Amino acid sequence: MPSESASAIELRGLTKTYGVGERAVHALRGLDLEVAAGEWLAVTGASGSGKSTLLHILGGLDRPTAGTARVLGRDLAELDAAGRTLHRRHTVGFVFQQFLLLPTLTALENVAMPLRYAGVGGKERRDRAAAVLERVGLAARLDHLPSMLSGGEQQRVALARALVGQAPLLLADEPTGNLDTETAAEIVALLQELAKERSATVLVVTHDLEIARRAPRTVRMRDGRLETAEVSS
Amino acid sequence: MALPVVIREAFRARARAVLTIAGITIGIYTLFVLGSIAEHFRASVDAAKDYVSGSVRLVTKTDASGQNPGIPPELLERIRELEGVAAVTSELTLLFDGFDLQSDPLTFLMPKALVDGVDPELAPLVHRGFEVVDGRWLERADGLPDDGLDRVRLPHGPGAMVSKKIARKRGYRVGEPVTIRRESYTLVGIYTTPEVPMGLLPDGIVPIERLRQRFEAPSADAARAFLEEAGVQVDPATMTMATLAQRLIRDQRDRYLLWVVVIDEPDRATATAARIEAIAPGVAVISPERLAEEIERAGQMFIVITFVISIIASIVGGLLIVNTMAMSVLERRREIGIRIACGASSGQIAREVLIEAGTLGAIGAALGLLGGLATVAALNPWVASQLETGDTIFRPTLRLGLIVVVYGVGLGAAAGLYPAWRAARTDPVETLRAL
Repeated sequence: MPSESASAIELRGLTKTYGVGERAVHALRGLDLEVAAGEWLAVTGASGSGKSTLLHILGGLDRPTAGTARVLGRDLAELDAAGRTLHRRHTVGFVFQQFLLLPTLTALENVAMPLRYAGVGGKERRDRAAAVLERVGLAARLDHLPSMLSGGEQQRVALARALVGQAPLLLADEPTGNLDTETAAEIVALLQELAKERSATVLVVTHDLEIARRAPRTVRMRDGRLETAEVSS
Repeated sequence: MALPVVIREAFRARARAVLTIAGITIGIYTLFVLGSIAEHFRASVDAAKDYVSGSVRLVTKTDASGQNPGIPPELLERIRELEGVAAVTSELTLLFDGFDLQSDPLTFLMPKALVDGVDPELAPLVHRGFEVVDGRWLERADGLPDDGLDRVRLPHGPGAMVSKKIARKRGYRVGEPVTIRRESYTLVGIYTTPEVPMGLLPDGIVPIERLRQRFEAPSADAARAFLEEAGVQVDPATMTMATLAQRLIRDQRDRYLLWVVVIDEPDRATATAARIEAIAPGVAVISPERLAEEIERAGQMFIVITFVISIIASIVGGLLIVNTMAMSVLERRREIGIRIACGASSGQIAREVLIEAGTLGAIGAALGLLGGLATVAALNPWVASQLETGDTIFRPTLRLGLIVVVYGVGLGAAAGLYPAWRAARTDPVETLRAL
């Protein structure tokens, strides 16, 4: 696990352009950013400002057009498809706004899914998934399908799924967007607690000012560039 | 992926999954039922080839005037003396129950029971593959009268043997009378036969002389007309028409249309056939090899037809899987995106789709197999009851069962290849951005 002083994320001139010529869409325009290991960073900005693109590149779902994107010292621009798969599998945990649980899988199976792709054996992955679900307060909901869970519970399952692989980097895209205020606060508190326990670096994309206020550092994006950097609280 | 999860995924769109499985089931069912007929045929052909391997058939041609020269006795003697020849005997195969003018011309598709007339002493040699399960083989005395043509030492007439199938079907017992071609015989033995194509093996064996007498005996009127036309004066006091006709038959004894040459060593049948051909140029010599080829050819045609029908039926099922899985992949692009975000590789995504498609195929195959087994189990006794010979036509083998299951799963997986390829190419960013 990298020390807190080292950079977990280091972006230099990160550029992402979709399409070519007149139809080109510049999602990121030479972004520079550093996030320390174990840091909690909130990224805000209007729709289309490039927040999600940044998250996708950091998560190894997309490749930058130019620039470097180092995560834990590894330049994601240089990774091939297999390398990006390994990056997603071992380095990153995703939390999405709409929870994005698989509807046909139980809470336990949803949480165990990343372990299955990582090649973890059946019993071990069930044990580990159950332990994380217990940690997020869902020990009694292991065999429930997502449709049988409340929104808050579903997001807890999604949190457990992001954490089960002990990824050092958590990427959350509007994690409270579909929750009421009270539940949202609970989820954010839980996310902070769990990230701290695991010394994970967290990058949260959000419109929620409350989350942004609770983050030690918030950056604002506009038109694919970093607009401001401030330290809250 | 655990099986319950795979099944849950596959049955997410329940109606579609059920319809797809129904399609596969019908395809596999067809494959199994027709395949079990083909298996029966294949086994029959193999047994038939084995059965004919120990003998050579000799046939002479009937000329334009309707006369068949037969094989001269001296030529038969030369054949008997050839190296490798165990015996030479004529064979006459007729309908077991005689020809029914009203119904038999209409039953060309229904195999009829046959009776084979052979030299009683040579019956075990001619029918090498037969096994006596009750009683005994025919003996020389079974076909010979003690002191006249119509008297034999057995209680109900000359000796006869019948197959186990027809004995069971008609309730024949050894020692009791049996009616063959409307004549009474005494049943001396019951045998089992190799399972060869219907209509090839006899369900009864009787002494050939007895069969010939009844089959070829001209009517008294026909014999009288024949004699009068030839200018022969018949003295009724010294020669009845019946005995005259019987003498005529005896004169013809060497003019059988079919002779069987029994070979010492079946392996040498081809060489022996060649030797016979060399000394009997006017005789058609049918070697076991040629006979086996003909049997094989007839069998292959049936097997190919069966195969083609089955494949077409199952391909339809396969296309249903392609459609179902392609739709499923399309509908689940977002979920595939999530799986990729959770660390799934393209290969893992493709494998999951293939497993799901294979599972649909396996379920369809299992149901088709069960349905096919039930059908065959129900139809075999019915077919046996309908056929005079008591034969069945379905042979569900373990090999066939394995083939259809492997085929069903393979078909499912093959049908899942394209959807799997599509799934593996899913762009996670595109699917997650669409949220």
